[in-house]
Amino acid sequence: MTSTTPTLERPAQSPARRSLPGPDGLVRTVLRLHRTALWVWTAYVALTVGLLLWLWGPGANAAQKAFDTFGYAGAQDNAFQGRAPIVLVGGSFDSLFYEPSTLIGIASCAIAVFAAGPLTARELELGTAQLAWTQSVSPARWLAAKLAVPAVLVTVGTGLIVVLYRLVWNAHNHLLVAGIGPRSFSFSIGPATVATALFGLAVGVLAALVLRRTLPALVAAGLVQFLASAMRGNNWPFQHSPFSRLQPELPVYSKAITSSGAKVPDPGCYLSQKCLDRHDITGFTRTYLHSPDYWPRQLTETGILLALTALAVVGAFLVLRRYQPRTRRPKNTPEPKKETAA
Amino acid sequence: MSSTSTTPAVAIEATGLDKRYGRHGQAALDQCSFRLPAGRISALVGPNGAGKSTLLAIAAGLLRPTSGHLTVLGAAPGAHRDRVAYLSQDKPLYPQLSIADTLRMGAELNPGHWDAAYADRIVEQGDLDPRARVRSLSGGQRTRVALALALGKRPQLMLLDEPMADLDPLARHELMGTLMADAAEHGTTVLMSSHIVAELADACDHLLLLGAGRIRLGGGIDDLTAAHSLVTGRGTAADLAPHTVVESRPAGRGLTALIRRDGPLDSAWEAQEPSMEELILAHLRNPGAPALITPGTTASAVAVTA
Amino acid sequence: MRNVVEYRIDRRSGVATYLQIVQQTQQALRLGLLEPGDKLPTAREVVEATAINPNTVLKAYRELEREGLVEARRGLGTFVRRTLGAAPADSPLRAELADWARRARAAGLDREDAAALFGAVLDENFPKGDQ
Repeated sequence: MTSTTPTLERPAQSPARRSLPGPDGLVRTVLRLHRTALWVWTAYVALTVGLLLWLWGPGANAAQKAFDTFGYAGAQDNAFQGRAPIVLVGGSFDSLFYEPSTLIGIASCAIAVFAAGPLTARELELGTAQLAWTQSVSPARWLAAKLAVPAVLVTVGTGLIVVLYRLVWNAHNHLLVAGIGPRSFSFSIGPATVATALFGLAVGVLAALVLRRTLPALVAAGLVQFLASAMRGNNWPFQHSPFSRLQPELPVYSKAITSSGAKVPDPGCYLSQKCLDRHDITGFTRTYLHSPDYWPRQLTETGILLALTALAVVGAFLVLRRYQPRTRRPKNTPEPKKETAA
Repeated sequence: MSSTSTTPAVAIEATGLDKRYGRHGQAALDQCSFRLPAGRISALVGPNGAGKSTLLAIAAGLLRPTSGHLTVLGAAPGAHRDRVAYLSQDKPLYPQLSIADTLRMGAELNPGHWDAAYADRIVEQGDLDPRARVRSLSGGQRTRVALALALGKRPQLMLLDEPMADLDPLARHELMGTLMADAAEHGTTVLMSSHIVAELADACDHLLLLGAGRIRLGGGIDDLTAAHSLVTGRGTAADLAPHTVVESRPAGRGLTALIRRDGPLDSAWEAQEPSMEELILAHLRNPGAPALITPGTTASAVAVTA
Repeated sequence: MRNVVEYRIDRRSGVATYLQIVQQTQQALRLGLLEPGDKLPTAREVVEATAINPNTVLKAYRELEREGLVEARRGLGTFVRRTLGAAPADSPLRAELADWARRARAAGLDREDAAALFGAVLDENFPKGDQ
């Protein structure tokens, strides 16, 4: 033996550490693979945050001025006068205030479509998922990364937007035209908004693993997420009372202030300065009070959406196992394997 | 079976492996049993639809057999992903990544055992710009990148499905040389499929011939060719008993036959050792010929009858 | 040390691959391209250049070792032990053979006739089993 194989350098298998891929490597890979989506998401968050900051600051100036002069009637007048024909551009505070919420709705459907298509089904269709599974990454770890990385980004981005949105609401809700708008907004924006986005992610991945093909998965996920978004607000079966499909009332505290500083009921002068002078009104105060229904409704909705999300995630891992060979020995194989001479 | 930390003497062992696609689909693998000893470079040969790709995908841990049992490096398929490389027939790569990013992904997904210099060298050998997007590459160039990804992880076992199919002759020679050098240096076990037998004749020292979902011929190529003779002479096929006649055809007044010898051969016949190609073709043309699997290639466990 | 032999594998020659390596090494020894002490390329180098199976190279080297032409030194490589210099280019034997070929030609033999005649004499004096 010593003399027969000298030219074959076969070093004894070095006891190299064959560690599993650390989460960082897998995370970097997922981020690099979906670089475009990452940019689009960043742009969406930046745009929405920018719009909210503007609404918080200079965007509210005109409406605030009208309110200071004529009270709620001034804010209403400002809202009706400046109604914008073009989305996002121009327009009154009242119309622009709801734009981020439209963007949030679009984004949640986009998340579902992305999760179903580029994130998962396209990889299965192209065979690149199998490429990843034949590196040192098990399919379960691959799926975990595919879910966790976008989930973190979605939670951070949507969470930031929601917090900022509530701050803008708290600062300026007196400038909004009363009615279904503020009521519906106030009850829908909160932790459940983040849960909806996460639900979209999970549904998309599940649809992709079940359907395995990009187009059907993308359509199915988009549809489910659209329906889920449509249920938001007050349409879940657990939300509406037998008597009304409307959200609960939102109590409002609205007073006029006299020159002595006394808070009196709004005299209802509309846009008449003469009338205001007659009543000695020099200012107004108005705010929506916190509804005791808010947290119970938000937390129930969040809980249910997160439970559905968890179900979809568990479902996705179960479906993924169908792709895999069994790791356990089949029952009909003898347990201790006998070694026969070769 | 030996522990997982050392190189097991057996790279792959299949026992009664069945794979059916769909409930009533035709069997892609049908009671397929064999053993691939470690360190061999094995040609997985067979007609289209014989089950080559199915077998490789099962061994790579990507497909679940309908029944039967398979171990890879002594464990269930997929248990040693870090030590097994797999190259599927269509060589999927991320089209949006550059070559450099693809290799970086290899490093990130195979930490601790990625040989970046080696992978880079394979790509450079093909005059490829690392900044080029995978999308813009030709089929052969993609194969080179995919092979760099497979070899860069320094596997103990390589499962290659039609690895050279879309390479030009020069690239084929170069990459086969790279593969052989890797095997020479590290003792890598290679199982590669092809339906171009000539492509594999010089590179492989072991053969697994698949036909209708099971192994028809399995063993070291020298052992298999030595067990057969190509005989010419006057006589009929019946005169060749007790040898097994795999194939016979008339030659003038006599016949030429490929036989599997059983005992010494009558000196009246002029005998030659067949080439690997002749052996394979004769068995492919005659699916009824009995299977021959050498003892080293026979699975040790009792066949599972599902 | 530099590689002095590069093996050429001809797939259509019908000669077993390992035998081609043996023969080409012998040829290199006869022509003085390899001399005692020279190192043969490693199996890795040969298979990288020729894309053949490493075991084929090892088999060829074992055969050369059996013939006493080379020796393997553990961890260093395979080295030429002795030459096959029976017929250097300018030996008297070669001159005699050249003389014979000229006479055969003068006698009206063509190339094939001469080759067949030479082959027959070779077979007579170097029976096949001998090798």
